[in-house]
Amino acid sequence: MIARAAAGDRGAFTQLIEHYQSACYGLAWRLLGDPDQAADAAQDAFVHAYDAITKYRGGLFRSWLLRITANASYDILRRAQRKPTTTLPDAEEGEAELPDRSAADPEAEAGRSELYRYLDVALRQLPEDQRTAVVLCDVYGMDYGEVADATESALGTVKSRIHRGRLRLRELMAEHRELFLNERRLDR
Amino acid sequence: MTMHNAPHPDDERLAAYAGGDSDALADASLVAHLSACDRCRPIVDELSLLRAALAELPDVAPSRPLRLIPPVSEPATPAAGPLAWLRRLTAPAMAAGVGLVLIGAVGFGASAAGDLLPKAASLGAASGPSTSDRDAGAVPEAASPSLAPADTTGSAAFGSSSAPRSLSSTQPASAAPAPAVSTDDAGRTELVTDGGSSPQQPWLTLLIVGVALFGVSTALRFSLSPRAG
Repeated sequence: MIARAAAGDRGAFTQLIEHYQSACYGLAWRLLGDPDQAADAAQDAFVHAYDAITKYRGGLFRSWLLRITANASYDILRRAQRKPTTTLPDAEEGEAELPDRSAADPEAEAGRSELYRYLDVALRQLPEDQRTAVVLCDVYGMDYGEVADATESALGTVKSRIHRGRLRLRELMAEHRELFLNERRLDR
Repeated sequence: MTMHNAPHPDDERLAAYAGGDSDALADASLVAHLSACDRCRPIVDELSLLRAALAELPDVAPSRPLRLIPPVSEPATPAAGPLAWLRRLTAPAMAAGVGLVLIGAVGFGASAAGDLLPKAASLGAASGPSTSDRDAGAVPEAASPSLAPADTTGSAAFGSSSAPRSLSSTQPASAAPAPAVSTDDAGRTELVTDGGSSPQQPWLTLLIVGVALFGVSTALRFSLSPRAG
């Protein structure tokens, strides 16, 4: 599929993007905190990806596409010079696509869903630089170097932001600690 | 085992350890501290759980339908290419048209002025009365009826074949294509050509070409400009 897309097959490219669009939009939404800006960033990313697909040299396509999305989101962030969002997200602003792994256990699924919702709320309350670093690293699995590239920051700065962001998140999630414990019990 | 008096590592160091940073994992004193500290170990555990939960955050459905692929512009490109190229040419063409108009106008004016004065002077001398005489109203009767209106004279000066043949009676028969001179009520003398090529002709052509070039390129530019929708 990727090879066909790289060869100029628009249908194959569309299918690829369709498959990953929620991941890209989710990343942009978590970085930008605004649904419209997130949609703009995702679309910018798709255009960049289309232009760059011929230069794609293997590796995880998802990671490649997410890096492009992160760059597009960060471009929007830089342009807007936004201040950290401190308001809680509206539940309708972004609807998480919950995995179907615990359909047999509605109670566990509800708890997990609640945990994710609180996490997204807490992420929104982080300072922008920490949120960006934590989202890219801990949510989307980029390594420190990739985060440094995407945010055009020094490696040491990125590490510090991630560490402080995690600590701040832990404070913000203190009230919902039992959700983590439940999750751990479920995993065992 | 609880370490009451041991200095706790910096919390960022704990976060680094929880995040699996290689330097933190390789820090023997940190590892030893964590194995014995009831305050730091739970923090690391909690941070690890937090990381695990973050990694499982689900994707988010877009708030609106997204265009997954840029609009098809490739097939349109070959057709749009020459048009776009043509449209890009209109700006310099408009500028060139304006330039030609200016050059033509200046050249025409200078040429007309340069031609008019000496010829008018010589013709005026040959036709008898001096300018001062005419100003005094001593113009011969034969000359006064042939006075051409100023606008007619002007157009005739552009080389029109309908130029009034004023003062023809005062011209030598051998000077067939010689220009005529008309004198208006105020005594101003103007050169009137007799339909042949004049020194102003190239400038006039330049002027007309400039106007035409400007007009055509302007019309092209507007007709080729992209329209919304």
